[in-house]
Amino acid sequence: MAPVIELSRQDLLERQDAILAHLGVTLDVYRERAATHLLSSDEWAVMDDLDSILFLLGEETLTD
Amino acid sequence: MADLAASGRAFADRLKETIEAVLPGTVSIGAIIAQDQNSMVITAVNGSQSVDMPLTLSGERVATWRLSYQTSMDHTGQFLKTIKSAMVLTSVFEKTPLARLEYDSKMRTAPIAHWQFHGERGAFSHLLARAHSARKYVTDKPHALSSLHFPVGGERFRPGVEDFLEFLVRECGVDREDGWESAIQDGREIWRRFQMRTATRELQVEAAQILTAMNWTVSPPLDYQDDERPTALRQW
Repeated sequence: MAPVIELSRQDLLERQDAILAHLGVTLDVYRERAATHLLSSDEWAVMDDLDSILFLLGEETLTD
Repeated sequence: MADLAASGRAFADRLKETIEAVLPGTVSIGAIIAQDQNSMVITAVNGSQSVDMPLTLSGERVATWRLSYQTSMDHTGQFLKTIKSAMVLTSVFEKTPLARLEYDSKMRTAPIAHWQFHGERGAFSHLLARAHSARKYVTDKPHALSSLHFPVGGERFRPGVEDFLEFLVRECGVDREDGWESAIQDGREIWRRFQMRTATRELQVEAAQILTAMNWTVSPPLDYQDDERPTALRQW
């Protein structure tokens, strides 16, 4: 049976912060780079993770 | 009212069954749920983390792929609705994707179901640069083909994960399991039947007309109001 993982808002925010800290950018900067097709290779690698977190937080997801 | 977690489990189990019948190895497909939201992401997981899945050629890992569905229950509370999905192919040589098959129900200018290719083509860039100089809504990154969204059937007739898997096997030549083709066809049939049911709910008069023409006896419910707004059939 498929695992179901429940994450709190705090869990999600901590994950988001960890990803952005690793990249050394803010969420706004990341959003802008994604929208203007200027993501680096490392930034691309986490796009789906960041987008999923934003969705689960009920926030606007990324577009590119 | 259907249960979000139960719906997610059922969907994840079906994905796992299809993927493992097509590609070598095992995968864990899970449902990540936000505790205080009616939202869930279905994706490959290791523990509580989402992960890429390996693709091999003669046993050697040459690429990865990622699958994610952002979902919630629909307005009736009965059906799981996909808000956004992504299937991403990436080489082991660099982290920038090679190609992405995405669906985003909130897209307004770009097609909501589309392929994006990460490549370069001088002649295409020339066309886009000329177009942007004349029409500013055309991409201002003509060198980046990934800024283009190639439409693939809209919300109702978009490809499913089975189409992406068949692309990986047939066009990219990755290792596959014996019997992969029938597993893909079985999954594709389920996907298209679901889409057909949704289309039928949206176009009840048309469905009734066709059944009547085939000698079925069909009558509308007493409270039926002909207010069809087949938005999904008009959007690209």
